[in-house]
Amino acid sequence: MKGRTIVITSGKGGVGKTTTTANIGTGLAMRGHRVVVIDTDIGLRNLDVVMGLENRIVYDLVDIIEGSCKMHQGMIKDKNNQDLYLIPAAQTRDKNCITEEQVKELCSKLESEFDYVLIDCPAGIEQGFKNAIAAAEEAIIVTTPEVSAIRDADRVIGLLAAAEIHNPKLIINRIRPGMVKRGEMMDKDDIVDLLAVEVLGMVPADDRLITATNQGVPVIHDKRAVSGAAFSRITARIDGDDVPLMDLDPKTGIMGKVKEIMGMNRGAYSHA
Amino acid sequence: MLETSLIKVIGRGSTVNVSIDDIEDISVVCQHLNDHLATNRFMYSTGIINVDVGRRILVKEELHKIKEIIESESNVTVSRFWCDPSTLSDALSETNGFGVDLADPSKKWQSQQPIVIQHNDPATYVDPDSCIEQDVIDLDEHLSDGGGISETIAPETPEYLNGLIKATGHSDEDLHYDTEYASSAISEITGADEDTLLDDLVGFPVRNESASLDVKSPKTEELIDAYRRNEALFIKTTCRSGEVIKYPGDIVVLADVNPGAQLVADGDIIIFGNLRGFAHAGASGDTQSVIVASNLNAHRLQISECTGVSPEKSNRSKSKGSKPRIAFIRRNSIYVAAYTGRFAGYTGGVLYEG
Repeated sequence: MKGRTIVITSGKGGVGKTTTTANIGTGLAMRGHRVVVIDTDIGLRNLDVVMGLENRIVYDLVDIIEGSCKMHQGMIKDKNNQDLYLIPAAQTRDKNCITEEQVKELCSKLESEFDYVLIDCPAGIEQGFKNAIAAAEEAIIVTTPEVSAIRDADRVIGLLAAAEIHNPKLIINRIRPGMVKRGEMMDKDDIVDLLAVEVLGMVPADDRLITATNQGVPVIHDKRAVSGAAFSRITARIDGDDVPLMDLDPKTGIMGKVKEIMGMNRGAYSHA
Repeated sequence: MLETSLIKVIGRGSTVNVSIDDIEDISVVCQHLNDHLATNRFMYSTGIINVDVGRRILVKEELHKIKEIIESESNVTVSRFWCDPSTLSDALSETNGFGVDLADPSKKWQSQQPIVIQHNDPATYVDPDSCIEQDVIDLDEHLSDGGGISETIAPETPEYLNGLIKATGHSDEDLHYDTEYASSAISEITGADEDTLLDDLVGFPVRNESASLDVKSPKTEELIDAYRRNEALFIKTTCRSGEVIKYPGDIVVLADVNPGAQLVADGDIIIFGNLRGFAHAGASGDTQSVIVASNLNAHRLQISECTGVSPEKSNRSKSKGSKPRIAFIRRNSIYVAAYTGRFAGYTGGVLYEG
């Protein structure tokens, strides 16, 4: 069966595309699928670092595309999961050295071998973006609850529609439920009202995610992290499970309030 | 409206199209046109018309000649020429192109099945001596099949007359609208590069905001379709940041217009959603144009030459519970008032300072 090719994109940089790609890729592999994640951010590669595979890179995406190595030589097997592979970006080249057609050709080969091909898109809407979306049939938009990120997400949704990729799914990253509750941060409804797309999930801001990223272990492995749990639910939704979005409103009692004040709010909130 | 062996005149909406035969020799057609206008002068007392040259490929001089005949033998003004799209690629290779406007008249007219009435049809025939104006109105009643159009022959609209003749190649601010649509359609048909084609075809610079991205707007097809059919542009999907939609008529949006999106219409703009982007009505100079939105939350609006900035400070616009509002020009400023089910005659409203 042909695999699904999904591009993870945002327009704006620094909203968590790479972290999201690493976690969704890991999550899908943990569910028993064969997954390959491709870093198309040529010149600024990150995905290998987030997945802790930096030391194993010999060949990269450009080598595969240019034919200087075989496809399987350029794919790096994950440390923890034998069904997860990474194709890293080249660090010493730039985005114009590959074309949309070449990406399409590579992905069609990968689709026959893997259940999921996840493409980590670079920031911006130039050639790198075009390369990344060329082969994709589905798209996941990552945004944070900030006007700048949402504006860029809106633009990207329009560009995806122009490229015939319809109905992208939205991940709202780094939500701070406390701030939303106080009306200091946009909530899900505000964002959906503007972007008019389906929400795939919400990931709360979480210190454990930062720690995990720095250690090169996707946070989805961390059973105690709220962000990891959010990524697990997102992964299940991608995989077709019917996992309802959880209510952001914590409905906390006095103890919840106290915990929140004391910074012990983990568990008090149910983040989608 | 009326038809001779070589000429067909059809009123559709607020415009009149004259379709000339595309097989007979051009000199014969010109002579015929001349004779026809000379004998039926009373029919064409005022207004503007479009000329459809069908599949014929014409050079600039011939288009000039047709325009000259029509304008000297009647009081109407030719606003633009149309041709069959299939001739465009031929025109490019054979004559290097002379700015014929792009349309698909066969589709436009056949699909809509307008009422074509013979000139001597007793139902429409009015003695020229009795009342010339009456003639026009009478014919119109038969033509506006449910359209409710009251002016078949439009009153003077100077901006439009100022040389929308593509064939002449006059550089004109108004022209770029047409060329943009033409360009999209051309590339659709020929698959060739828009810019090169347009330079060859039209012969004046084209403003193209999206050139850097060279992607089609998701609305391009709808736009071309509406333009060909000579009707309002209906947009059914959200207009997103970065999208620029220009249309030489009215625009109706059945979705939101997000921040960073731009709508530019020569006519009115009606939005059944949240307007948070930029809207410019009456872009060709019509100060009577209005902008109506279910939720009018735009920070900046423009009607004709007049711009206005919302006095409201909040940039967080909740769509819930707000009422439709209308933006219009009064005393050279933009005002926004609650929409009360009519298009004109508003006196109150909040001033949007320019």
